[in-house]
Amino acid sequence: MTRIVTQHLIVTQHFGNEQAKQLAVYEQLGGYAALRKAVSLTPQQIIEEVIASNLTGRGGAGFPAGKKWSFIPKDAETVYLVVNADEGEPGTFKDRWLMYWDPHRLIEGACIAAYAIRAHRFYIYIRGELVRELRVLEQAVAEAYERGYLGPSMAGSGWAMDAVVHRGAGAYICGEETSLLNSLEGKRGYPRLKPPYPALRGLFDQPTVVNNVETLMNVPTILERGGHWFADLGFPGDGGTRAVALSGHVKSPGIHEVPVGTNLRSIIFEQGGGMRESGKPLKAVIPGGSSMPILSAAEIDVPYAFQAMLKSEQIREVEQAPGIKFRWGAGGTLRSMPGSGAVTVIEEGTCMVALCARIMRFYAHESCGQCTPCREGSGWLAQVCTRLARGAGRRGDVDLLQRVAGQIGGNTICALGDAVTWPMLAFLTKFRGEFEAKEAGAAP
Amino acid sequence: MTANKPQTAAATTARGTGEVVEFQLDGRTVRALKGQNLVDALLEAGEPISAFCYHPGLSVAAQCRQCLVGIGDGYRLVPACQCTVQHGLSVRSQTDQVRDARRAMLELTLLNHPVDCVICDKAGECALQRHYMDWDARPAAINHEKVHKPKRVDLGPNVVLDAERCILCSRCVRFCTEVAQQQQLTMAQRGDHTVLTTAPGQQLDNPYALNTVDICPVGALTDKDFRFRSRVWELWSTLSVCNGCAAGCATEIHHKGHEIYRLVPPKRWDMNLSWMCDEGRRSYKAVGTERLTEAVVDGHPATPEQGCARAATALALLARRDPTSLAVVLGADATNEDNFMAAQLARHWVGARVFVADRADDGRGDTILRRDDPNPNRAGAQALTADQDATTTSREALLAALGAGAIKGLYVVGNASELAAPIAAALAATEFVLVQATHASALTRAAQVVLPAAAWPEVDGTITNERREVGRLRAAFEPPGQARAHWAWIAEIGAALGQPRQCASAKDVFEQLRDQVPLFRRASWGEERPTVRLRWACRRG
Repeated sequence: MTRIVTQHLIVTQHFGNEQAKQLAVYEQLGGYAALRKAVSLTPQQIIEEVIASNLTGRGGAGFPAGKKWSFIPKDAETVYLVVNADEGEPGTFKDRWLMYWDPHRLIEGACIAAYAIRAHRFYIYIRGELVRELRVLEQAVAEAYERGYLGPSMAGSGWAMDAVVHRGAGAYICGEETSLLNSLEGKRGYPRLKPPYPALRGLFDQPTVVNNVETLMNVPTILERGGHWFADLGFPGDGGTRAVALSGHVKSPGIHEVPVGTNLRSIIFEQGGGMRESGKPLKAVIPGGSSMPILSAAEIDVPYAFQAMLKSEQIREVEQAPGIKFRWGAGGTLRSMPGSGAVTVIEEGTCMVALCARIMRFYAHESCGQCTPCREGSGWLAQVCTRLARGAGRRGDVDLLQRVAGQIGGNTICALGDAVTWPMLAFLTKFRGEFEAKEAGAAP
Repeated sequence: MTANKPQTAAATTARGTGEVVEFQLDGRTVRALKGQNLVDALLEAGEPISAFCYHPGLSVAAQCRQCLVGIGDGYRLVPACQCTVQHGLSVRSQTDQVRDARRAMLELTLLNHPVDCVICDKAGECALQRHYMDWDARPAAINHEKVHKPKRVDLGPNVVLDAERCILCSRCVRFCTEVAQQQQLTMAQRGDHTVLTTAPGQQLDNPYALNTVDICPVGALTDKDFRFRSRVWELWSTLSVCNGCAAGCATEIHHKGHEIYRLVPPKRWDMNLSWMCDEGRRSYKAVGTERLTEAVVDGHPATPEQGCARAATALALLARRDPTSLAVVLGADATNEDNFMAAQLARHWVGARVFVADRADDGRGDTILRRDDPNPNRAGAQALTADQDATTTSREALLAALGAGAIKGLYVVGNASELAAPIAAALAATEFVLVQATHASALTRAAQVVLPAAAWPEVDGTITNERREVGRLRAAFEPPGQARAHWAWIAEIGAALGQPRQCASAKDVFEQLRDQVPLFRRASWGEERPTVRLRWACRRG
């Protein structure tokens, strides 16, 4: 893997160093200094530092982490931190490598975050398939207990801290935070109705913060170098770096840590070394995991940051039907987002209908089945997309896809409904011609 | 003005707090109870809102997404079931956005449903069928193979599942967990392959399992007893009270001709929360079979007039000799009117001693509906004998008096059920036995006169449950053969004894009872609810 080294590697700084996952080496490299500093601060001071850092959630939704922590009621008796290591969004593979190379950074970050929200226990909910990472993490947790970073007195502070590594069973939906909590409680992994949000009633009905692995791994650095340093590194309102999981038809796939707001084109053509040797030009980019609206080759000169991509005039708004803009949430239009930080590069010659069908089959397979529109609609879209891709489509299929897709997003308990609607409508907005060509060859 | 806060998944009540507030529905002002679930408030306001997963007796799941409404000026629609009524709330229900969304949800709900209404037991009382007529009524757009699932899953002793019809609303799952308090049902698999199932090694066998059939909005769960027996629109419905135990649950008797097809709970928040136990539902079976249909005098069939004349002659003779050797036994399974007439006969017409025949507590009560006391009207019979020491009217006192040879004439109103055999065995000194019963027993075989009685679905009257609430029985159909209500037989015998007839109907008896017995002074006969044909518009779904 060739990588252009930036000065500001945070979460990937120990990549390639097999020794760094040992506690002693991690400490020699400066590890756990931030935790020792953290316990000399008050929880409120830590939260303020993280708010100042503009650290946003790296799991996909980009919610400000410090703000999330501040929602925990101050008088709560039992509080939990849950680390969401159930990375499952297609295209996304950063958390597994982050945990593999640098497990102690995650533990240190989680300890600080748990202390900041006055929790005495954090759970790491790790995706069932990540067996190698699970072993690394369990080893690291055992070492941390041995050295007293975990246990009755965290880093000598007198603050008890326990860590529990819980292995999921491989359902994509359990990466949704309330579904994860149900699963952790031993229940079927169904997303919960919100409100109440986990910050008020989460794990075992107690106030709970759920954070992504990468989010927490930034926390030690924020305490060491200061929130403002971290904020300055990134984009206005969105601090630090992102571990971009670059994949697809690109020369150097892998994890590239770049400051938030780095130009998406430069991520692909500089960090990623450009298109692979096939010589085919860029056709499209899925910028943040398969649920995020796809970008055409002309739409990638944008800063890789939530606010920038949501607003960039360069990205065409997703359409509900030709000429009619899709609206979501509070009623705004939709362009795209960096999501979970997974950039999938697609070269010319790729069949967009087949790609879309593959994505739809994934969501149909992973829909938990709770809400009617997602359960039935995802299966319907997968069926119709797949037959179109195989050349067995029927007249009216494109309009049908558009109509059904528009009925799902926004009408479900969790965001999986949006994860079906957004890519489907974005594919149709930007590559409708390919779908229509498939339909044109179809029997009436 | 407070913003509307969608409520949590925790169990809720449909009734709200009692405070009446105003909210806006598509620009018009509607009054509703503060805290009431918005679905109920909209239905009460006459708004044609549809819902599958919401049930007022269960927690909110908000998963069918059928009751979407707009709140305030928010763009994103929310399920009405997740909202409660607050003062100043503004609800959009008839906008194009809302109507299109509900139609879309319905289309998706129907997508993998087999639409086999013509052979489905639920047809006619199916929420999906009704909402389709209300909202969509268009041909299906699906043109690929539907998902196939098991068609005949034996979930337990009483319930069969057709998984293809199931729309996965989870009402039954929540019912088992929250009401029956046994987690016997769950969902398995994911996406459109999700199926309802029992937990491994478990059956749906809780004592309330058949409620899942009632609340199933489609024909997925069917009652093994009722399925394939009748179309629901051929049935007639009579509101009555279950006679299975002292709980006195309101029930609808669904019948055709002289046959009962099922007992189901009506939606009655003040009584049994629209639930019934399986045992109570099955109690109708005893009513229809092997009934006594004609009077028997000294072992031979007789006319009613002969029976009454023979009874009156014997009672009068014994009463002249020694009234205290006469015993009248009230039934804890008879109505208040029956027992009132029996007590009147005993005390004022012949001067007899009064006892109450009841069944012993069976210890099978629970904290849900079923009571330990298996008698539908023990409280009522005891209220009529409240002026006496309870130990002098008890079954032990009766058996002791019979055993001592103190009873020469015995008049038993009701079947006496488990007491029939002990009484029959203690009749050595008894010269005359008169029994009014629905079914033959050792006692009827030992009696000189047997008069066939109407069973509870065949009578008008009242019974008093364990909480001393007076419930109203309504006759679903005529009793068979010569059978008639206990009070009517007693009145007939009274007439033969020379007493003036004062009561032409059970209501007349009730009014006398209310005027004369202090404990019934505030009781009400209840509204007249005629037997109605179950039709399309019935909102049972």
